[in-house]
Amino acid sequence: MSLQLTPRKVGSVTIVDLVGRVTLGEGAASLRDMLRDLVAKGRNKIVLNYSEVSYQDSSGNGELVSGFTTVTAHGGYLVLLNLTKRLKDLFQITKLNTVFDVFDNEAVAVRFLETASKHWVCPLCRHRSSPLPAETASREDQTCTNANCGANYSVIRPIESELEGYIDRVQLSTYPDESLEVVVGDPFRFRIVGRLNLFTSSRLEQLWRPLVWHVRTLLVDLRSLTEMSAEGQAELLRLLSAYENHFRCAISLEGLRRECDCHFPPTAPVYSDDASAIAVLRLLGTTNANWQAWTTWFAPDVPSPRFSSRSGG
Amino acid sequence: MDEHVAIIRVVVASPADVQSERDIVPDVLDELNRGVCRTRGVRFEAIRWETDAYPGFHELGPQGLIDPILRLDECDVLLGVFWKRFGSPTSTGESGTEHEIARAFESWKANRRPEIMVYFNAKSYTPKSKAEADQWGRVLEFREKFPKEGLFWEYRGRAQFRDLVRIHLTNYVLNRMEVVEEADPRWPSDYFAVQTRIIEEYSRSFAGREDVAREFDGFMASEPRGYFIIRGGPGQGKTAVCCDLIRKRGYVHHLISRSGGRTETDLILRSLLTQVRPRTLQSEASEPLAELIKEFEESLLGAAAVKKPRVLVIDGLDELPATAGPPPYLVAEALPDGVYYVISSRPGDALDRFTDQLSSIPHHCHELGPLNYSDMEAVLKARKPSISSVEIERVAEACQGHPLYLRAVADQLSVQPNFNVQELPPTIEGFFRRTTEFMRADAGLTREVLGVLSVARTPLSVRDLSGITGSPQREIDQRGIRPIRQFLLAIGAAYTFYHAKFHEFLTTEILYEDELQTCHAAVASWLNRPKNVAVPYYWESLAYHLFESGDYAELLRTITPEFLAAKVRRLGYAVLEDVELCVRALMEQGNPALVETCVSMVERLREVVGGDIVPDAVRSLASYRAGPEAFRTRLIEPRAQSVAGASVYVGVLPKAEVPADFVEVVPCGERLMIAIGDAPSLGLKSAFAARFIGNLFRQLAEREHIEDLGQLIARINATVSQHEYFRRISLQCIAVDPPRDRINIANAGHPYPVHYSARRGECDILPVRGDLLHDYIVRPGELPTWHQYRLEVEPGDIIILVSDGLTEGHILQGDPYEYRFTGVVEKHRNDGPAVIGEAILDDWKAHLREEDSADDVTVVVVVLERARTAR
Repeated sequence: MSLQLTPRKVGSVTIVDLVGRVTLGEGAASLRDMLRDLVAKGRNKIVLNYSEVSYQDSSGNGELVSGFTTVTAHGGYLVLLNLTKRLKDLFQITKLNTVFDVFDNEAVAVRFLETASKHWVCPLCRHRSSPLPAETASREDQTCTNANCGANYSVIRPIESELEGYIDRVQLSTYPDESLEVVVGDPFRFRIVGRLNLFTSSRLEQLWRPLVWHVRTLLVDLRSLTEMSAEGQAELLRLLSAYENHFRCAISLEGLRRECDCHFPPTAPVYSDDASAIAVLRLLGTTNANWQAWTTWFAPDVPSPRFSSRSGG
Repeated sequence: MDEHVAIIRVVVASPADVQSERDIVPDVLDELNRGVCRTRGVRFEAIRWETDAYPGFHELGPQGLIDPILRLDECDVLLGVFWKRFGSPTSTGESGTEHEIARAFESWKANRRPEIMVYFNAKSYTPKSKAEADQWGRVLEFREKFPKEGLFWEYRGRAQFRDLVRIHLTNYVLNRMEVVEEADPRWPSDYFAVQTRIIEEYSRSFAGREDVAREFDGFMASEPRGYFIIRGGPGQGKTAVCCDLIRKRGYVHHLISRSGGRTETDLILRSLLTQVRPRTLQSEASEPLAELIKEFEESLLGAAAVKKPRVLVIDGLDELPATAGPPPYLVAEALPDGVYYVISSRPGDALDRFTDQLSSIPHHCHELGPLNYSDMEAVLKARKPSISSVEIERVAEACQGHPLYLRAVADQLSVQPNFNVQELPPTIEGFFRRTTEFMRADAGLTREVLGVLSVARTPLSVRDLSGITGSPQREIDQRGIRPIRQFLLAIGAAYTFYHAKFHEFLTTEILYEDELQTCHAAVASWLNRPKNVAVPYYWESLAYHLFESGDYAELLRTITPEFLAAKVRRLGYAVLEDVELCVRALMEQGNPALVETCVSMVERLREVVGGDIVPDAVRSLASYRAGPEAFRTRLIEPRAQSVAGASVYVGVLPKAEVPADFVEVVPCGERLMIAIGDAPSLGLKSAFAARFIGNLFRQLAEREHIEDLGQLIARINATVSQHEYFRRISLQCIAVDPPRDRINIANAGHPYPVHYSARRGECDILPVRGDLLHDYIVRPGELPTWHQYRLEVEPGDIIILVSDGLTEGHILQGDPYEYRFTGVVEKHRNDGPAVIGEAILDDWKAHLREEDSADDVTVVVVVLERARTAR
């Protein structure tokens, strides 16, 4: 049976009911044509209802992915509905399950797409987040969907701005339940939760590099440090030194657990408590509010995110 | 396939006092029907009056009723058995038994048929009455007057009777019946003939080792099922012992060997299935491996149901190639009661890994020790009857009971009776060295023949060798074969090495690398002649010999799309070996159109087989096994090379016949580079894509010494990212550097590795992040990059790499396995990598599930060795 495609509108969302087989030739081609046609008409929130699809071959897979990239490139989103058990198996084995959002309930799928209209931009890698509801809370926690990044970040959305948000906190996981974290404030606070060793320091620079554009002073907080290897410490000191022309850092030993047994070299900017470290940082840094904010963009449905920073140099 | 089976009618004639012997005969026939008879397309059928006759009246009395049923003039074998009774008189003879034997003899005189085998029980007996004395006297009289044309046999007790009948009927079949020819190309026509001839050849000069059979019988008597392992070093006579058991007892068997395709899993399974099941139920040649395994396991269950012991002999577990683990036909997990395996193997990893699986299954290991003096004496006297006791003592002293050494010396004495045994060296290698001394300086024909036999993956005849070397057959025989005949095993008209030990000796001590390359080239050139196109070996090994000859240009000229298309039709997935060799040749040549050329090669093959050998992924999504008990018994455990300070295990539970998971382990100086990855979907395309990436990794690791693994992944991505074939392949690379206590890791979308820290005593999942290779979702304006992570390690630490078939297994049931194995690793922290790897796979298999429809499952375990020199 050749593929029949029947589009119907539910609010701002288009549901396409598929009946038949999505295979090489007419079936896959008609799916491609349908998706292009919808996007051209500006209907870019699309649900493909697979409940009556008995089979999809590799050409069908290819067209589906191609359609997904077309729709998302036009600022839209495409989700799948009611996959049969067999197709779920197929999607798992071909790893397409990692590409698509799949729903078993039409109303839930429609609600997801109706409210999904905007994306935050990750403060570390600039990757767009998953679609967000138009009405967002004043403080939102996001996880970057970029496989290379995976940062968790909190955004505070100011009342006066529709497009801009303030980063409150950025966290990169190292081990499960352990992380490197930057908390925005005066000064910015860099916290090591768990271990700092050669492995976790592999993530250190990923977090450190974007700070150049936003930070003037940074307090390294070792309260939650559980273990620091020599190689991890060396890597931290290397970064402090490498970026000292961009922002100032001080390491506070306040709250440091005794078992961590850290011995920094005399040249390191180490202070016994937060107050001493902050006092030194204030002498070195600036109190300009712009330097103490880290902003991100609330990207509307546009083809690709743009990066911009409000902070000046 | 021809299903014709010839029936051999066996009539049993005896008085009533040997009823228990009469009852043994059908059992023995049944065993032989499952064993040797299959190879000859025949089946024994026992005819006995007590089961085949019926009540009635006849003018000649009961014998008149029985004779038309026994049809003595039409039977093939008559088995006569006597002990103390001769039987009751009949109208035509002194007894029914005598009447039957006399009629059979008359028939034999006229037609040379049936074969008459008469046995007398030699057990001592004292008559207690005159009637008994009369009966016994008539037996003795019959025996004394036994026809001069005949030979009778004595036996003592039922067990010996059973053995003798088995041996004699086996010999009857082997001598009288031709080997069955098969037409299926996956089923070499000489396959069974080769096995049978090997058994004959090994049994020919077999002596001693009776303790093995005794111990095995004891094992069967004491255990309901199990594995009887015959362990011995090279040349200890493992194969000969197995062949002796097979020949005497008619056991189902397979002799694993690198020649003649006798290591191929599907061929072995078909061979075993043919022996354990009636031919009419035999599998189709095209049946997938998974189905064969299932059928085989079910056939064993069937055997268990009839409550008769089923014995399978598998010789040479250690001869399996490095890419294969304990094979599926050993079904260690679900061995039914009544099924026994006799397995022979050298000591080593393969055997250790196998026995590790047997902790809950009865097993016994028989260590083959040296031969005793009387065994050695018997063997030597058989070859040189005039050998003196001084010479025997000298040989015994030199060979120290080593069967291979003894055989080599005995063979030497056969061809050179004046061979001076006083100068025998102390080891078999020394003996090899001495007897091959003449070849060291000689570049002549013997050396050439040895070289060709060394590289061939099949036995070769004088005619073949003549064709390959270009020398006349007479010269091949006289100058090529005769000087080394004692090291050769004759299989019909073809030769191969008697023992792998001699092959090892030749390739390490006698022949140089360039000589072997020349021999590969010669075999390839010979195979490439038009007349050899019909030879199975042409299809199996032409590409192999061309590649090993080092002439990559010739390989790429010869292995054309047409050749590959013909091979995929004949041998299915075996074509992947040729594809891989072509890929490696193209890489060696630095071919700029590498990817396109390779992809078009595979695309053409897929067109030939109509999309793929697995036509679509969905077809293979049918459950692998019906139930969880025998769930994925096929485990591939390729032997991985390593570097000092680290040991490695690789285990794969494949979903289909060829996995889309891949692992490459590449020692690079002090570092060990490992790649693990997974190509989406199943079948030829996925398997090719996986192997291609693996080869690319190996080449970059070996040749370009790229330090940053993130860059290495980027290089691989840059090579493959222009082609749809390589979309969304995951790849994780690690570089283990034991001297620096450091591991570098980069990841392209593969499940995170796990690190067990000996210092902390626990496992960490390492979230090493990175995009899949050639991902669908590309961020505009960004080139994909991969970040290298570094890890401090210490002796005793363990790294585990897995594929998503393991972590995501059963995800569709909502309960993925994920990283539950960390507890297993912590529990086995002091064990070697193989134990840890297999424990992980066992744990995964035990995870609750509804069905198995997921993916290949791969585990790589690297253990940083505790005892190593400080840097």
